Amino acid sequence: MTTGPAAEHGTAVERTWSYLTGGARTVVVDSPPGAGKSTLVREVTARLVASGAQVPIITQTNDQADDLAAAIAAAVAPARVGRLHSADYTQPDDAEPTIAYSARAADLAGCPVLIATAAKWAFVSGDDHHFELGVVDEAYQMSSAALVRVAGLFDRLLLVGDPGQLSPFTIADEHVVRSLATWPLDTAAGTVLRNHPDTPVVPLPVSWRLPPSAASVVSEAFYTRPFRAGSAPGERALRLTVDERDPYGTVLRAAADTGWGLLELPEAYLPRTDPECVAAIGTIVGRLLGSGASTVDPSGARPLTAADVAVGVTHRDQRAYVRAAVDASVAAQGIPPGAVTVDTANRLQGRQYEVVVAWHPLSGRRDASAFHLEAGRLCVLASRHRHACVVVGRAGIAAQLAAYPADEPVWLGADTPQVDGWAANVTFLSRLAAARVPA
Amino acid sequence: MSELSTYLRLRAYRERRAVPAASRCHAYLADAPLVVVGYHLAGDPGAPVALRYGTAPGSWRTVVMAEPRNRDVRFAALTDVATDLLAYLDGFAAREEVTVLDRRGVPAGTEQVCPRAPQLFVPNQATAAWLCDTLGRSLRYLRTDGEYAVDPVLPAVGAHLSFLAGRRALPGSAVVVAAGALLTTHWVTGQLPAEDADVHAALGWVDPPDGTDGPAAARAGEALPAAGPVPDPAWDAEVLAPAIEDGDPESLRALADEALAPAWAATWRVRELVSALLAAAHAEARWESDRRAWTHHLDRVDAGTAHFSTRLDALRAFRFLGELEARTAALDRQMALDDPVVMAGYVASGEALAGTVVFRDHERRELSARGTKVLRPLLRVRPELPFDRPPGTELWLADRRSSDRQRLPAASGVQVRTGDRDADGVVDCVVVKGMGRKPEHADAALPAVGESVVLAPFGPQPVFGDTLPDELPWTHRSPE
Repeated sequence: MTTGPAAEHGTAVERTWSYLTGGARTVVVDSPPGAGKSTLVREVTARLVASGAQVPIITQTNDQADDLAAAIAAAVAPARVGRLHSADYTQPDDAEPTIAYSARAADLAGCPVLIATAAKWAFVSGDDHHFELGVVDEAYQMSSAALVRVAGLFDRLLLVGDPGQLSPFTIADEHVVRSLATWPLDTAAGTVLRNHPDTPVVPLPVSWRLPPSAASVVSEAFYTRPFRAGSAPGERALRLTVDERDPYGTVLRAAADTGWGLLELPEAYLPRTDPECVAAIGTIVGRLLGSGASTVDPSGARPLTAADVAVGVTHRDQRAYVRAAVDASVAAQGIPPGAVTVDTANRLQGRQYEVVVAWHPLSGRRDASAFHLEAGRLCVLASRHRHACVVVGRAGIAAQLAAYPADEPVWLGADTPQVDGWAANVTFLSRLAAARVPA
Repeated sequence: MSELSTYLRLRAYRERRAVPAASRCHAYLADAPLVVVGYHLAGDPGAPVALRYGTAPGSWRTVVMAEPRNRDVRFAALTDVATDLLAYLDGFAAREEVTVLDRRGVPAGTEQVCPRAPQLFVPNQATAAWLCDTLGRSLRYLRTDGEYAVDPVLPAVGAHLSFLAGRRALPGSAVVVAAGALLTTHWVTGQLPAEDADVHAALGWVDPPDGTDGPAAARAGEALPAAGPVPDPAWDAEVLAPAIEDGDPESLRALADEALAPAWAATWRVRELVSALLAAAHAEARWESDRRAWTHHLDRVDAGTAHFSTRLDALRAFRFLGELEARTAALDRQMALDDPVVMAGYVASGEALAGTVVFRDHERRELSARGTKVLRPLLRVRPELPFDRPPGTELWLADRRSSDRQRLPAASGVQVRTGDRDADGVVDCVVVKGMGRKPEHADAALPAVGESVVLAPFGPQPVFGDTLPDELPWTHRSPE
């Protein structure tokens, strides 16, 4: 008997809940992109609040904390949500009235839910505050170094996160750290799983964001625990009218029809701000928004707007050039600058759009460095969309991967990554071969 | 690589000569550095062949191991070196009493700190790693009793070298200086970074002899004997091997001395070149941290607790990471604040805004979210390069009083938020912090119309206490 995706998801949530009520000291929930991670945190928090517990939540950024506070405030109202923050934080303009803001944990002692970033939790004294169960959001973005500073506040932890995201990184020379010390930037979830190997891991089995075309590719290339799409094939559609006599139109047509498009510019070694790639991305976004495109899903059809489109890049200087090119390209349609999101993979984590244009991290490079091969970077770029993703890059990436020597050092005491970046890149590229459009 | 450094490298290539990447000397240069150059056996870093060292360009000693593979010969020769090294280090043992200031700058007692610290000056990072890390580790565990007893100076020097090795890993530390790295911090050559690894070649670009140019001098430099610590294979085969066969230490000493002479000269020349630059304002402050670490190390040696572990585990790994990150960030911003040429890199990349104040309203007020009127002065800055970061970018005024010798150049606390640009590219900057509460405070704190300003992408370094717990929490330990 086959079960529907909603039932599978519900089972995973119930399993998580039963582990928590069963007294497990640590529970890890592995959530693929758009698998309802925030919903799960909200649901579990609401149940814990209903049972009379005070729920502390650890996020990684202030934006995540604000988003989560708003969502949870609505779910647990009229119970108050405490938003603990640093002294120089400014609260959002549209704050829910049931959210209490303070820089001091003592002020918020009466709130059934307490939300703060890991950096802020590190300054909450364990002498004055102690919690039975803490909830860590984005536990694969959080580093072991951040966890070590807060874990003493909690007896038990629920860690929720996406194992396919970018790993924690440091501005310090990684080589120095790795050669002198046990790697302190493992993920929080990885740390817990290593030291407490009996921790139950609950994989969320369904991505509600990714369409079936993307879920199969992303699951195969970037995840060890498979997942599937929550929507059925054909349930969603991207409708557009484009002139298919040039590669830009052809690649948009391919993306609309299959969910993927790969625009391949002629092979060349270029600096990472490759002007032709910049121009191509600008043109694609302009053509897409000028094509009268609309998206169709079970909730109905609606026109594709600039806010539904994002461009993902690897470096900040790429972002500056692409932003200018995209703004110029859509200006003729009366779209104001900045309406189309252009950002680096790091900043796009956790975000969702209808259509994404991704600049392939290996495009035009002579070498495939560990930074550019990191599975998480490509995974973030390839898993932000609800309908279609157009990848733009130079030809020759496959040859470059084949030629790349595996000369990364192997470090003592470091866990091997669950997914090898090189293999993930090869798989991803081979799955996109059918959508390839030479420019 | 940033836009500016790419440009500088191309310019150096076209001009056939290195171009400055800095206008200040960012490493503290001690009066009496101990310059050390040396070779070890190819394939055996634990077997030194020859070491040439001294504290002045014209006076040095060269010690050779007549049979590098014989440990008795090796340790006898190394005992000579260690005795000299200890004599050098002993010159920095004196302490003086300094006043300790608390975080607000109020005197809070005194402590004993060494006013001088040793400085090891070597041709390249590879030599630094060999001397401090490898030799330090191989010497510090030797026994001074039992069947294979060595002279106690060897483990003593091993401990000092291990201290230098630990310190060397920290950005901004100057107790060990590699001439090659110093050179490429302050100049950009027109060759590949991989080629810069040869200090002779890089020095050729920076300091070509009269009548020649950078590329030619670099080629001539490449032809010189290797700067170490690994000798040229040809030298190994044609010079070293026959000399070891002969077993005459005096002839080997003369040959090694000759081979190491170019590295010796290059190391001193690099020091001379960078010392011609003005000292960067923060270099001395970073050196103070080195001096305190040296004092602490001597305390541990005296107490017999100078232990070193090869790998840091548990809490020490987290503490080390925190220190490394803080120092990396501090060095980057201090170099930019000290040195307009380094800051130019931030301006060129669009992160910083350099320009002239064309309008100022230091009495301007805005309605805050609470409905009260707050002081929010306005500066309009005409940028020297178009500034294309989005409105709302936060920048900090780089202190314009940096010529004041009493104060270090710092990112002042004055923080602005960029606003709109007019058709001419003039940027509105709303001052949000650091201007005081009253217009007269803002008048003094803010630059006047016509003044040149640099708005940097970093503010004063935040001072946070470390929040590491005293022991590892349960998440980081396996259950018993």
